Amino acid sequence: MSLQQIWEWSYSSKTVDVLRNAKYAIPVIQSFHLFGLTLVLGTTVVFNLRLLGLGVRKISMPALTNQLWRLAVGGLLLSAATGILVFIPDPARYAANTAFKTKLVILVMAILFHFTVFRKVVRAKVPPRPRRAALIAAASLTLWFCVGWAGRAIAFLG
Amino acid sequence: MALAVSVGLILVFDLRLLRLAFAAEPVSRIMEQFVPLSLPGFAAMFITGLLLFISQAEKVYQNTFFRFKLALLVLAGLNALLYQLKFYPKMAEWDKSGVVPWGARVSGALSLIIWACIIALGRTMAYEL
Repeated sequence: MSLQQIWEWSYSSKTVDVLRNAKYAIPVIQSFHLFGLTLVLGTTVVFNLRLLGLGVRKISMPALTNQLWRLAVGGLLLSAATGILVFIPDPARYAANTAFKTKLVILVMAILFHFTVFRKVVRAKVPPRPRRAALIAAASLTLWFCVGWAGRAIAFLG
Repeated sequence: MALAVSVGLILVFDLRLLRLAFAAEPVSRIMEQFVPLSLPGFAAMFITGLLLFISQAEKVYQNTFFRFKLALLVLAGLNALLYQLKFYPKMAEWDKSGVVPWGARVSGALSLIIWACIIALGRTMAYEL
Protein backbone atom coordinates (compact mmCIF):
# COMPACT_ATOMS: atom_id res chain seq x y z
CA MET A 1 0.00 0.00 0.00
CA SER A 2 1.48 3.33 -0.97
CA LEU A 3 1.30 6.41 1.25
CA GLN A 4 -1.14 7.93 -1.21
CA GLN A 5 -3.45 4.92 -0.85
CA ILE A 6 -3.25 5.10 2.93
CA TRP A 7 -4.40 8.73 2.88
CA GLU A 8 -7.15 7.93 0.41
CA TRP A 9 -8.33 5.03 2.50
CA SER A 10 -8.32 7.02 5.75
CA TYR A 11 -9.88 10.03 4.01
CA SER A 12 -12.88 7.99 3.00
CA SER A 13 -13.22 6.08 6.30
CA LYS A 14 -16.20 6.71 8.58
CA THR A 15 -14.11 7.57 11.64
CA VAL A 16 -12.25 10.30 9.81
CA ASP A 17 -15.54 11.57 8.43
CA VAL A 18 -16.73 12.09 12.00
CA LEU A 19 -13.55 14.06 12.78
CA ARG A 20 -13.99 16.18 9.68
CA ASN A 21 -17.58 17.08 10.31
CA ALA A 22 -17.81 17.40 14.09
CA LYS A 23 -17.77 21.13 14.70
CA TYR A 24 -15.26 21.22 17.52
CA ALA A 25 -13.22 18.08 16.83
CA ILE A 26 -10.33 19.88 15.14
CA PRO A 27 -9.96 22.76 17.63
CA VAL A 28 -10.09 20.31 20.55
CA ILE A 29 -7.41 18.13 18.96
CA GLN A 30 -5.37 21.25 18.21
CA SER A 31 -5.62 22.27 21.86
CA PHE A 32 -3.84 19.06 22.83
CA HIS A 33 -1.39 19.71 19.98
CA LEU A 34 -0.61 23.11 21.53
CA PHE A 35 -0.31 21.63 25.01
CA GLY A 36 2.27 19.19 23.65
CA LEU A 37 4.06 22.08 21.97
CA THR A 38 4.11 23.94 25.29
CA LEU A 39 5.88 20.98 26.88
CA VAL A 40 8.42 20.57 24.06
CA LEU A 41 9.24 24.26 23.67
CA GLY A 42 9.08 24.96 27.40
CA THR A 43 11.56 22.24 28.29
CA THR A 44 13.77 23.17 25.32
CA VAL A 45 13.93 26.77 26.57
CA VAL A 46 14.83 25.57 30.07
CA PHE A 47 17.59 23.24 28.82
CA ASN A 48 19.05 25.96 26.63
CA LEU A 49 18.99 28.64 29.31
CA ARG A 50 20.82 26.23 31.59
CA LEU A 51 23.28 25.34 28.82
CA LEU A 52 24.02 29.04 28.30
CA GLY A 53 24.23 29.71 32.04
CA LEU A 54 21.44 32.29 31.75
CA GLY A 55 18.94 30.67 34.08
CA VAL A 56 18.09 27.78 36.43
CA ARG A 57 21.74 27.79 37.48
CA LYS A 58 21.00 26.35 40.92
CA ILE A 59 19.67 23.15 39.42
CA SER A 60 22.22 20.80 37.95
CA MET A 61 21.99 19.70 34.33
CA PRO A 62 21.65 16.01 35.34
CA ALA A 63 18.70 16.92 37.61
CA LEU A 64 17.06 18.90 34.80
CA THR A 65 17.54 16.12 32.28
CA ASN A 66 16.36 13.52 34.75
CA GLN A 67 13.13 15.42 35.46
CA LEU A 68 12.32 17.25 32.23
CA TRP A 69 13.46 15.00 29.38
CA ARG A 70 10.39 12.77 29.77
CA LEU A 71 8.13 15.83 29.64
CA ALA A 72 9.72 16.80 26.33
CA VAL A 73 9.29 13.28 24.94
CA GLY A 74 5.71 13.10 26.23
CA GLY A 75 4.92 16.49 24.72
CA LEU A 76 6.43 15.48 21.39
CA LEU A 77 4.42 12.25 21.27
CA LEU A 78 1.22 14.13 22.14
CA SER A 79 1.88 16.75 19.47
CA ALA A 80 2.79 14.14 16.86
CA ALA A 81 -0.31 12.03 17.56
CA THR A 82 -2.68 15.02 17.55
CA GLY A 83 -0.89 16.49 14.52
CA ILE A 84 -1.63 13.32 12.55
CA LEU A 85 -5.28 13.52 13.66
CA VAL A 86 -5.53 17.08 12.33
CA PHE A 87 -3.83 16.04 9.09
CA ILE A 88 -5.84 12.97 8.07
CA PRO A 89 -9.29 14.55 7.68
CA ASP A 90 -7.87 16.97 5.11
CA PRO A 91 -4.57 15.58 3.72
CA ALA A 92 -4.74 17.22 0.28
CA ARG A 93 -5.06 20.69 1.75
CA TYR A 94 -2.04 20.22 4.01
CA ALA A 95 0.07 18.45 1.38
CA ALA A 96 -0.35 21.47 -0.88
CA ASN A 97 0.43 24.00 1.87
CA THR A 98 3.94 25.50 1.69
CA ALA A 99 4.03 26.35 5.39
CA PHE A 100 3.07 22.76 6.25
CA LYS A 101 5.78 21.28 4.01
CA THR A 102 8.35 23.70 5.45
CA LYS A 103 7.23 22.77 8.95
CA LEU A 104 7.67 19.05 8.32
CA VAL A 105 11.20 19.52 6.99
CA ILE A 106 12.22 21.68 9.97
CA LEU A 107 10.46 19.29 12.35
CA VAL A 108 12.47 16.32 11.07
CA MET A 109 15.66 18.37 11.45
CA ALA A 110 14.65 19.48 14.97
CA ILE A 111 13.85 15.92 16.09
CA LEU A 112 17.10 14.56 14.65
CA PHE A 113 19.09 17.31 16.35
CA HIS A 114 17.22 16.93 19.64
CA PHE A 115 17.77 13.19 19.95
CA THR A 116 21.42 13.19 18.86
CA VAL A 117 23.56 16.28 19.53
CA PHE A 118 21.20 17.88 22.04
CA ARG A 119 20.47 14.71 23.99
CA LYS A 120 24.17 14.03 24.27
CA VAL A 121 25.03 17.48 25.56
CA VAL A 122 22.29 17.59 28.22
CA ARG A 123 23.36 14.14 29.42
CA ALA A 124 27.10 14.82 29.40
CA LYS A 125 28.85 14.77 32.78
CA VAL A 126 31.09 17.65 31.73
CA PRO A 127 29.40 20.86 30.51
CA PRO A 128 30.34 21.94 26.97
CA ARG A 129 32.66 24.86 26.29
CA PRO A 130 30.77 28.20 26.12
CA ARG A 131 31.21 28.53 22.36
CA ARG A 132 29.88 25.06 21.69
CA ALA A 133 27.04 25.58 24.17
CA ALA A 134 26.06 28.80 22.38
CA LEU A 135 26.07 27.11 18.98
CA ILE A 136 23.98 24.20 20.19
CA ALA A 137 21.49 26.48 21.95
CA ALA A 138 21.18 28.69 18.86
CA ALA A 139 20.52 25.67 16.64
CA SER A 140 18.05 24.08 19.07
CA LEU A 141 16.02 27.25 19.71
CA THR A 142 15.97 28.24 16.03
CA LEU A 143 14.81 24.80 14.93
CA TRP A 144 12.02 24.39 17.51
CA PHE A 145 10.71 27.94 17.29
CA CYS A 146 10.65 27.71 13.49
CA VAL A 147 8.59 24.52 13.80
CA GLY A 148 6.11 26.48 15.91
CA TRP A 149 6.03 29.51 13.63
CA ALA A 150 5.72 27.45 10.47
CA GLY A 151 2.89 25.55 12.14
CA ARG A 152 1.08 28.77 12.97
CA ALA A 153 1.64 29.97 9.39
CA ILE A 154 -0.25 26.98 7.93
CA ALA A 155 -3.54 28.72 8.66
CA PHE A 156 -2.41 31.94 6.96
CA LEU A 157 -0.33 30.81 3.96
CA GLY A 158 -1.47 28.75 1.03
CA MET B 1 5.41 30.95 21.06
CA ALA B 2 5.54 32.84 24.30
CA LEU B 3 3.17 30.11 25.48
CA ALA B 4 6.17 27.87 26.04
CA VAL B 5 8.05 30.43 28.11
CA SER B 6 5.03 31.33 30.25
CA VAL B 7 2.77 28.32 30.74
CA GLY B 8 5.63 25.91 29.98
CA LEU B 9 7.59 27.20 32.97
CA ILE B 10 4.63 27.61 35.34
CA LEU B 11 3.67 24.00 34.83
CA VAL B 12 7.11 22.87 36.01
CA PHE B 13 6.37 24.64 39.30
CA ASP B 14 2.84 23.16 39.42
CA LEU B 15 4.28 19.69 38.88
CA ARG B 16 6.70 20.28 41.76
CA LEU B 17 3.84 21.23 44.08
CA LEU B 18 2.25 17.92 43.14
CA ARG B 19 5.60 16.12 43.59
CA LEU B 20 5.44 14.98 39.97
CA ALA B 21 8.75 16.64 39.05
CA PHE B 22 11.87 17.66 40.97
CA ALA B 23 10.59 15.95 44.13
CA ALA B 24 14.19 15.94 45.42
CA GLU B 25 14.53 19.72 45.17
CA PRO B 26 12.93 22.16 47.65
CA VAL B 27 9.79 23.89 46.34
CA SER B 28 11.36 27.28 47.11
CA ARG B 29 14.28 26.55 44.79
CA ILE B 30 12.05 25.47 41.92
CA MET B 31 9.95 28.60 42.43
CA GLU B 32 12.95 30.92 42.51
CA GLN B 33 14.57 29.24 39.49
CA PHE B 34 11.56 28.88 37.19
CA VAL B 35 8.85 31.41 38.05
CA PRO B 36 10.84 34.64 37.34
CA LEU B 37 11.75 33.25 33.90
CA SER B 38 8.05 32.95 33.06
CA LEU B 39 7.38 36.67 33.58
CA PRO B 40 8.79 37.89 30.23
CA GLY B 41 6.81 35.06 28.62
CA PHE B 42 3.59 36.27 30.24
CA ALA B 43 4.38 39.87 29.28
CA ALA B 44 4.83 38.80 25.63
CA MET B 45 1.58 36.81 25.78
CA PHE B 46 -0.42 39.76 27.10
CA ILE B 47 1.03 42.23 24.60
CA THR B 48 0.53 40.00 21.56
CA GLY B 49 -2.88 38.93 22.85
CA LEU B 50 -3.92 42.56 23.24
CA LEU B 51 -2.74 43.32 19.70
CA LEU B 52 -4.75 40.40 18.31
CA PHE B 53 -7.76 41.58 20.32
CA ILE B 54 -7.72 45.18 19.10
CA SER B 55 -7.33 44.05 15.50
CA GLN B 56 -10.90 42.71 15.67
CA ALA B 57 -12.15 43.75 19.09
CA GLU B 58 -15.84 43.90 18.29
CA LYS B 59 -15.98 40.40 16.85
CA VAL B 60 -13.77 38.89 19.53
CA TYR B 61 -15.70 40.51 22.37
CA GLN B 62 -18.89 38.78 21.23
CA ASN B 63 -17.18 35.39 21.22
CA THR B 64 -18.32 33.11 24.05
CA PHE B 65 -15.05 31.18 24.07
CA PHE B 66 -13.15 34.46 24.41
CA ARG B 67 -15.28 35.47 27.39
CA PHE B 68 -14.70 32.14 29.09
CA LYS B 69 -10.99 32.45 28.35
CA LEU B 70 -10.86 35.89 29.98
CA ALA B 71 -12.74 34.57 33.00
CA LEU B 72 -10.25 31.72 33.33
CA LEU B 73 -7.30 34.12 33.00
CA VAL B 74 -8.73 36.06 35.95
CA LEU B 75 -9.19 32.76 37.81
CA ALA B 76 -5.56 31.77 37.10
CA GLY B 77 -4.47 35.14 38.48
CA LEU B 78 -6.62 34.74 41.60
CA ASN B 79 -5.29 31.22 42.13
CA ALA B 80 -1.70 32.51 41.94
CA LEU B 81 -2.57 35.43 44.24
CA LEU B 82 -4.12 33.05 46.77
CA TYR B 83 -0.93 30.98 46.73
CA GLN B 84 1.17 34.10 47.29
CA LEU B 85 -0.99 35.25 50.21
CA LYS B 86 -1.70 31.96 51.91
CA PHE B 87 1.16 29.56 51.21
CA TYR B 88 4.14 31.67 50.17
CA PRO B 89 4.65 33.46 53.52
CA LYS B 90 5.10 30.13 55.34
CA MET B 91 6.88 28.35 52.50
CA ALA B 92 10.22 28.24 54.33
CA GLU B 93 8.55 26.26 57.15
CA TRP B 94 6.63 23.66 55.20
CA ASP B 95 9.32 23.35 52.58
CA LYS B 96 11.77 22.18 55.25
CA SER B 97 9.38 19.46 56.39
CA GLY B 98 9.18 18.20 52.80
CA VAL B 99 5.37 18.07 52.92
CA VAL B 100 3.49 20.42 50.60
CA PRO B 101 0.25 21.58 52.32
CA TRP B 102 -2.80 20.12 50.60
CA GLY B 103 -4.06 23.61 49.78
CA ALA B 104 -0.87 24.39 47.88
CA ARG B 105 -1.20 21.08 46.01
CA VAL B 106 -4.76 21.95 45.06
CA SER B 107 -3.50 25.33 43.88
CA GLY B 108 -0.88 23.62 41.68
CA ALA B 109 -3.42 21.19 40.23
CA LEU B 110 -5.89 24.04 39.59
CA SER B 111 -3.20 26.03 37.84
CA LEU B 112 -2.44 23.11 35.49
CA ILE B 113 -6.13 22.58 34.69
CA ILE B 114 -6.92 26.28 34.24
CA TRP B 115 -3.98 26.87 31.88
CA ALA B 116 -4.82 23.79 29.81
CA CYS B 117 -8.40 25.10 29.49
CA ILE B 118 -7.13 28.57 28.53
CA ILE B 119 -5.11 27.02 25.69
CA ALA B 120 -8.15 25.05 24.53
CA LEU B 121 -10.50 28.05 24.68
CA GLY B 122 -7.99 30.25 22.88
CA ARG B 123 -7.67 27.70 20.10
CA THR B 124 -11.40 27.10 19.81
CA MET B 125 -12.44 30.77 19.73
CA ALA B 126 -10.72 31.21 16.36
CA TYR B 127 -13.22 28.76 14.87
CA GLU B 128 -16.14 30.94 15.93
CA LEU B 129 -14.89 34.26 14.54
